[in-house]
Amino acid sequence: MKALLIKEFRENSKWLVVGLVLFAGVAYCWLPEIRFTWSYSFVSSFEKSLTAIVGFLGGLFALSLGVLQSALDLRSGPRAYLQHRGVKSSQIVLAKLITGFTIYAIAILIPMSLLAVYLGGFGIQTIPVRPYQIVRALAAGFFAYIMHPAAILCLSRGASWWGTKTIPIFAALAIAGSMIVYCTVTSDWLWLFPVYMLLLAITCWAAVDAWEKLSLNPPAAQSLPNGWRVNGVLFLGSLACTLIALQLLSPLGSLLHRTERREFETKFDLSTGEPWAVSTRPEDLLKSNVEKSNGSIFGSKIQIGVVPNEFSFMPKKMQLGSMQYLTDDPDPSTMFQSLYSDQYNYWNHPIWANVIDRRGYLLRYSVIDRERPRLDSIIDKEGIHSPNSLPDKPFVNLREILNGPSGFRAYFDSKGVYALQRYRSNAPDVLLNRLVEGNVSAAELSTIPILDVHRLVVVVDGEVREYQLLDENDSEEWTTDAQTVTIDDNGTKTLSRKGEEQAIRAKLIQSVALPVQFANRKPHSLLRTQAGYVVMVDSFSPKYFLLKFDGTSEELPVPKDESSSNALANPVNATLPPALMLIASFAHFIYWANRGESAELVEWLMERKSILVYLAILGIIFVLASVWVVNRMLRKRGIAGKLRWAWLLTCIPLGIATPLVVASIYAVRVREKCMSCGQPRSVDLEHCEVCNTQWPLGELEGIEVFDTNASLQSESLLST
Amino acid sequence: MNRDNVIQSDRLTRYFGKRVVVQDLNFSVPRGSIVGLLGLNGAGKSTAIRMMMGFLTPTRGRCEILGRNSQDLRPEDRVRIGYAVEGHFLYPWMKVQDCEAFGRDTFPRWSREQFYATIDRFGIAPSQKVNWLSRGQRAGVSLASTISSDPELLVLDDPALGLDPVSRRALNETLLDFNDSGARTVLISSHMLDDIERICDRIAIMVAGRILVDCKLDDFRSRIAAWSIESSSDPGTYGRIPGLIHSHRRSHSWVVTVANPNDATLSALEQLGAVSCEPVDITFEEAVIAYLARSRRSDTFLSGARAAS
Repeated sequence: MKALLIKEFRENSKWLVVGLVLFAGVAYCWLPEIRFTWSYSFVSSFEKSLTAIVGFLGGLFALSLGVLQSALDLRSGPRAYLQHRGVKSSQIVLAKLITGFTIYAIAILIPMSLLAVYLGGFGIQTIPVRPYQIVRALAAGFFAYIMHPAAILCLSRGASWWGTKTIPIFAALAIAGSMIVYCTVTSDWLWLFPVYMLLLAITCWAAVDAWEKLSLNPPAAQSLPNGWRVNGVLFLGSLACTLIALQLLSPLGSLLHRTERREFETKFDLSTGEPWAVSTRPEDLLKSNVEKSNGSIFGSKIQIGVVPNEFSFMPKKMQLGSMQYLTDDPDPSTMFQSLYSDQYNYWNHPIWANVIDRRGYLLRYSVIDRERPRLDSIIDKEGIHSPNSLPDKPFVNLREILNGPSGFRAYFDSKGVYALQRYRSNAPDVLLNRLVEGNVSAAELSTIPILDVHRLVVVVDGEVREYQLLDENDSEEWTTDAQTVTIDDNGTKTLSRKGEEQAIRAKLIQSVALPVQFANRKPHSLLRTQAGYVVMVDSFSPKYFLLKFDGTSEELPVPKDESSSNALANPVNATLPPALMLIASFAHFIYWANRGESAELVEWLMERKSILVYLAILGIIFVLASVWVVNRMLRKRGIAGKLRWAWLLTCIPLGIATPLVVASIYAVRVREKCMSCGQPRSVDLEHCEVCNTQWPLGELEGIEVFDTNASLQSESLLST
Repeated sequence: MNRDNVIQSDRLTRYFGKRVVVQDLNFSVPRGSIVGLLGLNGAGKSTAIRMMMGFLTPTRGRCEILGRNSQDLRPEDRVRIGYAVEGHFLYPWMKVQDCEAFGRDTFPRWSREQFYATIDRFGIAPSQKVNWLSRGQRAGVSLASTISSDPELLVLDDPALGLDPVSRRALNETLLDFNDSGARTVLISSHMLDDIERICDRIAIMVAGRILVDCKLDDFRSRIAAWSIESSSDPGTYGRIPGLIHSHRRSHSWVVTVANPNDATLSALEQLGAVSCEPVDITFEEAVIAYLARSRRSDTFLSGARAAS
């Protein structure tokens, strides 16, 4: 083993230089961005971009490394020189894996560590990026390492048929790709890490297995390839192939259903609280010059017409896509604090940039000099601190309330609602007020158009409470103070000082108890209308309630989420493997059942029976088509009997993945005409499939000179 | 399998695409012998050896080597076989002494003395880098690496390719020393007919993927004969000479080479009606070339031979 490791390191150490240059280049490309074009958008996207790039390039490098390590040793001469020894093939491939991982790890770790040191040199004083924020990129890079054993597995397989060679690459690509996406997009999927490790182990194991056994075995023509591990990889790979193929097809399906697809935004009439589904499709706007709501082939028609002028959007954060963000549940990611970056929420302002740190601090940067921003203050629930003193009373899941009037920012966490006023004439220039105390689950600043004032509406302790926001003169008119920014000839920015002395306080004016149906459903967004409070509850499908000021409530009709139902009705979905669909449905069901809302899913599905029937019919058609195609393929490949039936039955759970699997596992056979029966017979079988005769011996030419010792020639191995 | 044979193949066949490269190869290597495998380039020698060594999967048929299916060779089987591939592959970044160390670490039995004795015979210094070795020196290191593991069977794929006479002599001496006790076996494929004649006791000739000769060297010599025939046309085209291997023109006459000559052969020669027909001596090299030249002839020749038989 030592000799093999030395050999591998000696031969492949040059690729370390390539890897270092590659990843150092990636790190270096960020430096001018960090130093000279510091911007909020860059910093907020820094981690995601770095993660995606390192993951992508890491996968490419791992794949190349695996190919280069294996390809050189699979040439005829080097292969015989290496393998014709007293070492197991598994030791050879293990040496390759160890070497490859070491090179890969060093190539990633050194440049990324240097980048972390560089970021640390700036410090949070200047940019809200911490050195450990490269950890997510590192994780993505190491997830991508799975391409290395996959490449070795791909090249080491002895089967000459392309499918069995390339499928491990697709499987690894699916695994690495999904993990990198999880690293990039969300931070709540790290529980998948053990699954990834398991898949990585299986892939490595299959690589060793393939190198050890399959490379020397004849092609498995009449049976499945040996070894369940390889079968597992093949199965995963076939599914991955199918999904990739479907992703290529899905734009076609989307095009077919373009007429049915609409994007919605939910708006509420501020007079009546009535919800409106507003289509923002450009074609609709062009046709009628008004915003129109939408109908669908599968859902019932909903209100179509001109939306009243007095309406308001349900706040963005209260849309379906942000439901999880609004919930105040304990964040599981805190268990993996070191792997998660802080979440930032920026807004542009000529002078200040406020950053919500995930740990619960408000970081306030001065950006007058945009190239050299400085941390001005750190704000916690106790007050405002200098950047050099770390406060110890962070907010708990701090959320910003949008739609605040100019010059006023409000936040809420599970302990209350806070107002941050940014402009005062005397130091300190930031004022933090606790407006409401209590376990706030939802809060919103609502505008009352008639009065032109803002009201704070919160859900706290089972009540919806409405507060007036008053200044020091008990006036609500402070919200009308528009602040202006003046830039003089020297480029110096100054703010108008209207209203900046006003310290806002909240005064409770009314409260309405939430009805009992909210007992198990946490409201997470609300809006004040003249008819009452529109409350949205977290559910599989959105549910709106109008809670009137007199305490009564009624459920509002909800515009159907036709974009999702139409997406479900896409015929491409019917081509997905039925087993995969069932597993996905089951997982979805379990997910929502855990939230105590299983009935919602059933209800949602029951409302769309037509889609289910439509998909079921299409699915059956695709399965039958698969059976027909597979049957033809098996016949061409000379596969019959139980194995043929097994593959035909496989069409039921795997659908159109089955032809892909069959095509990839079984090679098309070379055939010659049988001298006995005249039928084409496979050249790799000892007997004719039709007449069962052996291959005839070649015709003697009379010039053969063989040993007179008959025993040397006549004894047939096959007969024994 | 016959226990006296270290290699025995049974109808070993290999296709590359639709082209058959090795066809129904029935071939055996008796224990203790030195067997020369001869054939033109592309005859299928290396393909056959790769299948025998388990590095290429046969399309059909099978082969046993040292009593084990060649496709299922384990490391403990492989260490009993020394195998030098065509081209004498060695890791170019190694020094000669590194090759020795690599072999020592990867073979359970290893003779350091044997290694250094062999490279000494080829005039190679241990500190030389492989990348800078001549072809002959590389052959020496390859041979030293192969035989230092003390194998029972030595398989050499064209080891003399491109070697100078001195290196070839060193190679031959090494092989003869290796087989000195008669307990070890050598299979060597080569184009060097004089070397083969000098060191081998059996030969096998492959023509277009098929074995046409597989016998002792002396048997081969005794079963090939040639006649000089004065004739205006090629006597081979008449297609009436049984066992006709090859005919070629020499000066004003034709030389026909025949396998397994007998009374029927003499009778056929007489019926040609030639001006004269005299037996001539034929060397081993000429006999082998007669076989090898067959594949370069047109189909009419073969058709004639078939018709005659």
